[in-house]
Amino acid sequence: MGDDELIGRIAAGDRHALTDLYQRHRGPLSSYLRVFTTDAGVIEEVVQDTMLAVWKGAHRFAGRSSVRSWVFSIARRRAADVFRRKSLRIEADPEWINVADPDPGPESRALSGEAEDDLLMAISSLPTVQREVLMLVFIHGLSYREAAEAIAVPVGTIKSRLNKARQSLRVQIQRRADA
Amino acid sequence: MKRHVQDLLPAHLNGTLESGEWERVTDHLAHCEACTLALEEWTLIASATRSAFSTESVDSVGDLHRVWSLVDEHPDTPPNARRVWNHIAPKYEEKNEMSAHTLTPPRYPGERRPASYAWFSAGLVALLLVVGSVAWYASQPGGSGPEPLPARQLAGGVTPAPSSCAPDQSPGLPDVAGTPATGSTSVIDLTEGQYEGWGFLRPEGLPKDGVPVDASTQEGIQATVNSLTSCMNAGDASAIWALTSADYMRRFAATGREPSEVNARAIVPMVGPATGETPVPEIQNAMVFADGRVGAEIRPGFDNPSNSFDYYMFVLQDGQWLIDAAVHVQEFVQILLIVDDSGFSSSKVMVPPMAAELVLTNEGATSHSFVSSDLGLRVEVAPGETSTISLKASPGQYTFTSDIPGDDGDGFRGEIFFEGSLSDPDATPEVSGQDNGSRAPGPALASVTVHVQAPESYAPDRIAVLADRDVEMTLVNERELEANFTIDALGISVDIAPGETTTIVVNAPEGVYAFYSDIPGHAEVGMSGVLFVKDAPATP
Repeated sequence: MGDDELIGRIAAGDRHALTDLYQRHRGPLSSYLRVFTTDAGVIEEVVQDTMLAVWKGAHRFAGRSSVRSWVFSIARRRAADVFRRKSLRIEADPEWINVADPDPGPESRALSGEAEDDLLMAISSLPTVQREVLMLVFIHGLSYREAAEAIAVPVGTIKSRLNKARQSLRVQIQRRADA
Repeated sequence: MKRHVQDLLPAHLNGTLESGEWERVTDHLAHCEACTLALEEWTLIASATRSAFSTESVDSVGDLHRVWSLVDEHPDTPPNARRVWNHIAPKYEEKNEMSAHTLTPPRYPGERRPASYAWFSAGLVALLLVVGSVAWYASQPGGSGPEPLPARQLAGGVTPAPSSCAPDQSPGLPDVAGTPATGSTSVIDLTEGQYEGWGFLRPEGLPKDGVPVDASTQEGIQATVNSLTSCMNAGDASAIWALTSADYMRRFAATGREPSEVNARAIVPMVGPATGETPVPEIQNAMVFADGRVGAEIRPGFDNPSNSFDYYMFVLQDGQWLIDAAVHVQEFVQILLIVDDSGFSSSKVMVPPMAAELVLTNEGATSHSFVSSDLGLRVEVAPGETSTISLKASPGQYTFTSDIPGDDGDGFRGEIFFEGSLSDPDATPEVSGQDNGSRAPGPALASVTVHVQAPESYAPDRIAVLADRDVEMTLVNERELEANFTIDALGISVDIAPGETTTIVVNAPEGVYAFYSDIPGHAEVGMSGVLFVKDAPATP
């Protein structure tokens, strides 16, 4: 049974369908939420909140987006609510306004195979919103459009966050190499 | 073409390009060396991303116990149910959530809402470090960082095992539903203006008419704070709840929230994360008030960069000082602005109506300056240096730039808005743009239509309306995504569904108010604007 059909059944009040959807999305959701917090208790709280929102809101799912990006977008908002209560915040995006996307840069390779460990460290020091987009695209395999729906930004922002992530990874790796 | 193709490389890698696009990118890659190198980099980044986040897999066993208990408890609760915090409802109504979440907490005075600060960064890189404990929390390395609290089912009848974290307490959840109302208002008394809509108390709002406590009282509240800390560290939510007064629980129950672990931590925001080693906070300025309660500043025991603290009211019950109210107090805010050789990180800086500092960091290779002739400010910052500037001005709109030769691009021009009441005695009612390139908000209107457009923006984003009368604002969301319109200072927050039109009525005293979309990600990309509320010009 596809996700869309599950949503239809949930909208009709089928509890088994919500349980199925939960089993299917719990892993990906928990993994996605780890970009914001490492606290397993908070993650489970947000996942449960998300499922409650799905239960109450399934009839409003319009099918404009994929079920996955819809569920992710709910989880993101629920996470924001929980963080607000807990006084945490999703970092603001340190990207530049009125500045063109970073130039692809010199045609040399700043990142190479030897730098994998450095790259891991560099990724973990990226701003949350940039790590989030890397994660949505490379781990969850979302398309730009789905990722945009999940985090409520236009597709262009997904592209620019990816470019900025790459640019700052290059800069960090270069600094390490120079040091 | 190269630019466009490079944008698509991550999607090329994860296989989500449309078929036409995929062929176009593949063809292009065959003869574009730069793009091939970029693709190799993306391959490394993709692989490192997977490694970086491939932590332990999530246990696939779990159930929806809590969801069903909530569904069964509130079967008829409409999605937009509004719950209000007793006594405060008239002034501080909760945000009108459009979500289907029935347990949306009301925002009570003092409850921190860090998300709203994100908007300061309105223009963008102006990162605001208001609630720095967050940054502190986030900066804890994963390995030595907070030990996650075990997930507990506190709702639905599962009572956690007794804990040794608070030996003097009877463990177990308080009987929320059965706690009788005492009829007393135990919230710290609030007066208009203390909060200024920013969701926290300002130091001026703290009660001051008490007398310093004696040694045994000091020991008593210290014992409570010690228990609180050890319960946090032990992850024992029920014991934390047992440290609150009956009246606190009664007020809490009225909000419809669960006495859950997460909400327990909202009682103790500045105690810090549950690390197993959170130090005991310091208690300062403890005073006893006429009603017998004791108020004290609770300063976190860790290095706290947020310029804030908590203020607790304690009440003596059965020989123990229990927490009767907890509010968050913000002393001043810091607005971070970065400048580099291409300009300022934000062209729009918002200053809330409270003490504020601008922290300017030069990440460029040459010196730059922050100059505002309107404000009479000039600061030059050398490469790699940071300078802190105290911000104080009448509410209104000002401009800033850099006067270093060569700093003449658009990136070096910006606007700075001071929110606040124009009726301040020393306020200059110069709210419209001056002849310096600022965009004026136009004549004050009795009704106005605001469009939410793509890419994220409001049109217009400078609005002038008439003071002290009902002004109809029609909000039109022309985008395909949900949008929101929030003015913290006026307690306005409405969601606007895609393609929908919503009308709100604003009645505000003269002043300068910031508005923004509180949907995560929106304000950061510039979804913000300024509402100027002005008296009608006197007719001759």
